[in-house]
Amino acid sequence: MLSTILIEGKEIRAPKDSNLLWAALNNGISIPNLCSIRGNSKPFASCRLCFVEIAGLQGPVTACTEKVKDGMKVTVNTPEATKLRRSSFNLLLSHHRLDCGRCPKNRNCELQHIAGLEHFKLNDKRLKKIDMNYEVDSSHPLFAFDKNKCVLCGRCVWVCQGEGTGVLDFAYRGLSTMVSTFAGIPLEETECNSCLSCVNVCPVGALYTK
Amino acid sequence: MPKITSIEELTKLKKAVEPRLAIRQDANFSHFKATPEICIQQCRGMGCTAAGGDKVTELFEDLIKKKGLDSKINIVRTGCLGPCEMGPTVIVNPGDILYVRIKPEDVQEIFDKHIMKGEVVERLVYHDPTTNKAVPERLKINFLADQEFRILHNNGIIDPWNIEEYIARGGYEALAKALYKMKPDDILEEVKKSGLRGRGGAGFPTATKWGFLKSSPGTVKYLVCNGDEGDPGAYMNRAVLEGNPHSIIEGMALGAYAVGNIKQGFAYIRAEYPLAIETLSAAIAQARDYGLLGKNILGTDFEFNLDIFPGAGAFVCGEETALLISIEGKRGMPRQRPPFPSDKGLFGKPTAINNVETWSIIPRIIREGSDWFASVGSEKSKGTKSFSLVGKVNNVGLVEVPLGTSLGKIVFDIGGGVPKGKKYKATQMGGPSGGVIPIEHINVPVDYESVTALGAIMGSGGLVVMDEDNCMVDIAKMFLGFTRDESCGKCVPCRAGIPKLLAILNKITSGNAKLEDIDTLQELSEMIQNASICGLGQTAPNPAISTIRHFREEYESHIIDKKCPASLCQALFKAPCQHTCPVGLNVYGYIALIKEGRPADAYKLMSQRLPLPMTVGRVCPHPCESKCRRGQVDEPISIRHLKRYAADFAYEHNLSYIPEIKGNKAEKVAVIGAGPAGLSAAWDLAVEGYKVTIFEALPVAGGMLAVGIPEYRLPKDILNKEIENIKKLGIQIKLNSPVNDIDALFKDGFKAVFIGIGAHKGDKMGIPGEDLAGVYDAIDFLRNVNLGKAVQVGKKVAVVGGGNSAIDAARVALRKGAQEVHIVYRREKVDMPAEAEEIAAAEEEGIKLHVLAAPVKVIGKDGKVAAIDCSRMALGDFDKSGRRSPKPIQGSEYTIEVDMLIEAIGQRPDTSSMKLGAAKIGKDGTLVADKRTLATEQKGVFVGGDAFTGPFTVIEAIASGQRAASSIKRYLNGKDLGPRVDRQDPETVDYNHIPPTDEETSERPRIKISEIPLPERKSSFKECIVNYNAKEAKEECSRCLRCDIG
Repeated sequence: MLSTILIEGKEIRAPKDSNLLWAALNNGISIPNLCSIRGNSKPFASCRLCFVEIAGLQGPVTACTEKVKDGMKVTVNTPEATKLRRSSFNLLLSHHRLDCGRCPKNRNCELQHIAGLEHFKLNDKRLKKIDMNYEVDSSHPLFAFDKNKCVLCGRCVWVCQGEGTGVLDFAYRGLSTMVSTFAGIPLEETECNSCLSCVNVCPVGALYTK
Repeated sequence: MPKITSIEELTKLKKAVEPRLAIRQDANFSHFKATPEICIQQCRGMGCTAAGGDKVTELFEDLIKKKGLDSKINIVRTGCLGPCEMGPTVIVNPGDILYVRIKPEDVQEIFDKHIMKGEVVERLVYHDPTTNKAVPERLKINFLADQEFRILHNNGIIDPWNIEEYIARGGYEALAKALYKMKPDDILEEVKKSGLRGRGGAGFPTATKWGFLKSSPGTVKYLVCNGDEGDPGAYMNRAVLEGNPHSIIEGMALGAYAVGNIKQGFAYIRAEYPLAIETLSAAIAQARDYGLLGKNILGTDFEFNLDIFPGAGAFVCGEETALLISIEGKRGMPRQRPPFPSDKGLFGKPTAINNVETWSIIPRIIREGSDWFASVGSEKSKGTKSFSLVGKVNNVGLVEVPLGTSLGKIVFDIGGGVPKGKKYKATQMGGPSGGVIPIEHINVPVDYESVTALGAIMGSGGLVVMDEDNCMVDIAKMFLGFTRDESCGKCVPCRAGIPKLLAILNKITSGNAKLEDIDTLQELSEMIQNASICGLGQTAPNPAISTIRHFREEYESHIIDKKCPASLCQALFKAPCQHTCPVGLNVYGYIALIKEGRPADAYKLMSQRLPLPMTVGRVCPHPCESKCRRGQVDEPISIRHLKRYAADFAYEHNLSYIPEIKGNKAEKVAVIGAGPAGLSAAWDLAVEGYKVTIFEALPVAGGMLAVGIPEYRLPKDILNKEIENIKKLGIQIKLNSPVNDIDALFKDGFKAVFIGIGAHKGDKMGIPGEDLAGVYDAIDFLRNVNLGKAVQVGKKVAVVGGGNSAIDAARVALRKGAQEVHIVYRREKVDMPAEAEEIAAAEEEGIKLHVLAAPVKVIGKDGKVAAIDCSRMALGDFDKSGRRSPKPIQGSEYTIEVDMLIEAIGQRPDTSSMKLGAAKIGKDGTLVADKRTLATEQKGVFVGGDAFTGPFTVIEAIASGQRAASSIKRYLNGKDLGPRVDRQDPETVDYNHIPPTDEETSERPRIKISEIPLPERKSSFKECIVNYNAKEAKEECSRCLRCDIG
């Protein structure tokens, strides 16, 4: 059953109870996002970039965790929602190694894409940058993993546990949280079946083919 | 044991075990000798166990065995009794006698005297800290007397490892009643009527939560008990898990029955609570054996199972979605709600999660009824709540009180107030997700709404009490450091935002921040609150927001003044003594010099910053000593007396320090008032080369030092010698020269004016008869005596007030020949603002203190005072200063016959005959000025000392004089007065940097000062306190920990 909703003044039709973020994206409406992945029914909701406002709800909410309801009125570009999106973006960038010139994902990076779309600066000076200084794991013959670029969106973990052999998961807490192999062993020593699904879903230059 | 299959069997078992417990609840000590049985109940809570409780129990057991008394004396190890800080504790029954802080070597004495002979060992029972009286009966101890045990009612009575004892106390009766006599909806209705709200922190109505679960579709549902108690300083749930585990099992079974379709529950308990896990495991096994858990409970077809899931030690797993994911065996990361657990919870099935305390009270609500539960508490927050009271409070421990009890009652009546006479500052509620409640709100009723309105949260019940030595920025740092480490790292605001908040806080505590950083803190905090997925991130900034809200001044002080008011943020200073001193005296420096045997150099070092060292060495209230770290070992260094020692040494050897005058300035500066503020301002300005004239209204210089402080505390020749020294800088002091018009001074060519007129006008009480002859004002009285005027002192004198002036007036009256001197004060002795040593000296001299009394009427005879009618006062609610405000007790009036009454209830500056131009008069008659630059609204006019602050201390007056001098200097140079203008002269005296030896740092009290004999004290104005000799001074200096080194 299709519901009609209004996003940014545009009327779109999407299946009732389907994911609002994807309903918008499928209809050509841009909402920044990093952690959402088509096919995952349980939104990870970690990147906090898809804030929108919905008539009747108090304050901005993440679009990826909302379901399409008939008659829903959604606005993306409100001052409050934009403020939260910008802050999340800046915080994400504050511990992302910014090395676009030498990055394999340069010009094909979702962070760059969002910055362009939202007119956000990639190098906001107000927050002090933190470089975690992780070693790049280039042990695998086909791809490498640079944790310094990782935005912890969790897409790779999800595909690896679904399509791959489940060698990736989150480890540690707080700012030290990382995507890691078991006990941090090099990728080559894991059960990785080289499906490269992780590389394909990585929105930034963290996982890349050699 | 065959399973219990009916109400009758349960009742039968209860009746069989009940007599065993009777003795444990027998508070009548007279039964002790009459009964053949004795019971020793030992607390096996965390505090007592850590203090060595197990050893104590073993020793008791050995003695009992040795004497062959096994059958007569029973030892029971019970759940936490509450007074955790006093462990190990045991109760001996009958009589309910509580022994505290028992050492292994005390056991024999308790056994011989109490157990064998029935004599209470007074030495080892609780002693009231204020009266020092022994309080042997447990429930008469103020800490426990005001509590209401409903959740903890089995703690201290039953053996938690014995299900039969729980049954004997009415346990499982509620479940039997429910299964046999009530419909599931009746249970839900009863819980709803009780008004029970979730005890985990948010206060969501329990019945509503269960209602959601009930109406959620599905035939498989779960119940979860959240036992992941992780707030720093919180241990309420632990006490229930370890002391009354069956209440949780029964509560959950009742919940399962009420909701329906629930066969399985989980208790998620943090692995750091091994004893809680063991105890609950044992309880579950017993409940199964007794047919109270599992299939066919109590012979019905109701089935409910319970398993324990130990949490692996992540604070975030206390968040319900993370907790459920953790039980599923995955990494405990929260997920966005909705869907709520009541729709999609554990393994995707509808689930309800309640806190340990919520589950544990359910059986009593069903057994004793919702009315019983709701009979205590406030309108919207019913029942009792347990709290763990920790921090700067005398009675640390577990506390259970009705919701709505005032915070002041918990901290002061139950908690016994703040130790070491320190000033209470605030209480942190709700752990890292909560906020602080400052002293102004000490009367707040502790319930969900009131606490939230102040920016704190109820949380699970951690109450961290803080005093003047706690820095609020540091507190915010501490809690944010905790949440930073415990953030799961999933969502970016929490993961990356909290470290940013901490970075800003660190900038502040190291003195590198700007005022704008406070705004950034608030903005970023708000963002983290709004953008985070779960409760941890959404509430993590609360400690920062809340401390900014209530203690913004402390933040500003770190940023602008580079001062930590608690002298805690080490990056801002070398040693707390120097940082606390308003003048910033290099205390450790002159102490090192005295220790080296160089008192003259010590005098020189202090004189470079302090113009009146001999005076200050006598009358300073020494705020430095209250922050001296030696005080944490034994007693603070006797800084004031050491200062006097060095300064007097210089005086006796005719040494004086006169700084070099830096230059020759054309401008003339007028200083009004030759008190400590005016003298200090003049000194600093004269050193800069300005021509300074001091106008003094009185016939003597020195201000309050000369006419307020009596000769026996500060001899006149000492003060005069120091004033003479100041005059050597070319400062002119015009006595008997009141200034009536500021403008006239400018017309006379003065380019700047400093007002330091002090606060020489006494306040009136406003009671009938105040205008009678024989009624004096303390300030007038002391002035007249100090000026050598003839003063008629009565035979029976009463002084009203509790400050230093009151004590001074009383002691002077005594020396002037009064036969009887009474001090009447409306609050308690501990509340008196006068220095404790002054109060003690007055009492020693025979002055009688009437506390909790206030005059209501002065009775005259022949136009002269003949008596005062006083009313006894009772202490009511706390006022904003954190003291209980006194209220007259109706019909309690009594009369004191006096022929002289001295009022010493307050002072204010007397500006009645002074034209001030644009400068304004504010509250209490003080002049209005910027608190940092001390500039008034009249250009070129500055203020300092008591004229600005109201009656305060000599050292603060000196500091403000110096600060005003800096401002005047900048003003005359045409510079911006700036945010901070501190005197920063280089020191020219070297001293050693040798740390103390181990022997020197080992525990030993300060060197006592001596006083002249009492008869001599009472009959003359001779200085009371005798100076240290060289040996004593050196010895005292060797106690200094030298915080400045390393």
